[in-house]
Amino acid sequence: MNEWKEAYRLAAFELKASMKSFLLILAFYTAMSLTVMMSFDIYLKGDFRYFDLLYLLIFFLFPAWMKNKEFQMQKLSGDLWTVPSVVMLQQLPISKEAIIKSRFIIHAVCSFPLQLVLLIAMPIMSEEFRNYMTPVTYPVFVLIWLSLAIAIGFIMAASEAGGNFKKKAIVMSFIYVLGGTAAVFFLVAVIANDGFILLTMQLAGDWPFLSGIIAIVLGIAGWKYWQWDMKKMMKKTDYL
Amino acid sequence: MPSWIEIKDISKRIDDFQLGPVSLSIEPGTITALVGNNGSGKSTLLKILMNLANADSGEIRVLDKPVAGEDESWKRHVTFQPQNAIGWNAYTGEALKRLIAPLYSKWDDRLFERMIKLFEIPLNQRYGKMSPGMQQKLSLSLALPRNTDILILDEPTASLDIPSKNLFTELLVEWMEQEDRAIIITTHQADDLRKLADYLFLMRNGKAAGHYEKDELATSYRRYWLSAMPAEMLPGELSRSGNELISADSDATEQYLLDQGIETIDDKSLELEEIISLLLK
Repeated sequence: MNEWKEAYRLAAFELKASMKSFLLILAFYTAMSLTVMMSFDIYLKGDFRYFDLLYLLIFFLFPAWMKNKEFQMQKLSGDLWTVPSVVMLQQLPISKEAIIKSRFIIHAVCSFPLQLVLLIAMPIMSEEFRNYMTPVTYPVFVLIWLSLAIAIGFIMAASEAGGNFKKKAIVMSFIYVLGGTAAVFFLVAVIANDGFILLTMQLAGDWPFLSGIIAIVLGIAGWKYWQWDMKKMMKKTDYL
Repeated sequence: MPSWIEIKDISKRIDDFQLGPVSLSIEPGTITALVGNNGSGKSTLLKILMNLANADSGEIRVLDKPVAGEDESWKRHVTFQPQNAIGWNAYTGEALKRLIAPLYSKWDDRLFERMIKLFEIPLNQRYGKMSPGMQQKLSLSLALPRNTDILILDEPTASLDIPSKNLFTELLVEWMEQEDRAIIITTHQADDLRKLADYLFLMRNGKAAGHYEKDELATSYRRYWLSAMPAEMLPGELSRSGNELISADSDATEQYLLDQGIETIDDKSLELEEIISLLLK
């Protein structure tokens, strides 16, 4: 409990220092996202396949860019890549758990508002979506996406532990990420003929209870796993 | 008295650089200066001590707790001021104080205010916008008032002007006298060594080059001008040039000169800087 209290204090400390730029970036990304969302109806009618990719990009990556440059991952010295706050806090009598939790709170604050705007904008901006969803299936759909935001999106928070990466490793991981993204996109296109968003709409619509339960489990597992992963990386990294 | 810090056979390889194995004990009530050329591994050793980096082998215990263990409570007893404060740039001095002060049960607000006043630090300015000297003054003002048992300072006076350096030395001596405390300091400033250090731990190319009591070291090294230079090597002899001799063991050298009836024209103690230069050669 104390760790959470400490984590909130640390998160509030950092967010307060970057509040102005955070709100500006949030407003900019929200406007951009809503512009993209204007094509949502076209996607649901099957005429805009790449909307999926755009949406996933906005949903998962924009939150990581929401922070001021000083609070983002950067090369600090030698082969050390990390978020400066992670180094600063480790020099103080703060447990690794509290540091990790504070990074997760900050990521949640940076990601959930934009993600909620996107999810709320769907029924508002798309007639097709409104026709497809019911008062029961829509909350399940939102739950699925918020769980994905944790299970997949919180890799961004965990990665703030950083690491000692050589140039070759960075280039290779960039290639892997590109390859992985292409593979996932291809797989989604094969599994879900109509696109990933439509697949989650179908899951929420056809099996609301089951997909709701799986989403919750996935969210909790992701929340725990990424914290464990971040701690492992913090222990492994040389913050020299 | 048991050591507060026990560094045992620590080694670490970073690319082509090999640190250690290094062993060092720090006892309460002492100021130990880590001295070495640039890149000799002083800062790396301190970061391993703070568990910011992993050692390849060996162990470090602070107040009998392994720093690499799950129990991180030892950090409450240690203040670490690195050479460059990472992650501070976005915050004002006031904000940094709000972050740091509640973490230490013995935080001394009066000392903090005093240092802010003495160093004339603008607390409402962002750390990143301050000059290097002002940044260092703020870092020190946020370090001393924590009143921890152990204080680790990595190049604390490198960017300070002369009056501020003197002021800081006075404050540090005063701080040290209040309780049983231990300080580890890395510095290239001879003045810091002269005024502050009790012990010198010398490092050369990642290896320990000796652990000395400063006063003992200062008295044992001496330069002699002799009436005649004997052909054989003298006890304690470190180097010779013409009739000039440098000894690392003045007692043994003087006894020899007396026994052999060699007249000493003049003799002089060596400056600490000179001794260190000789030891680090």
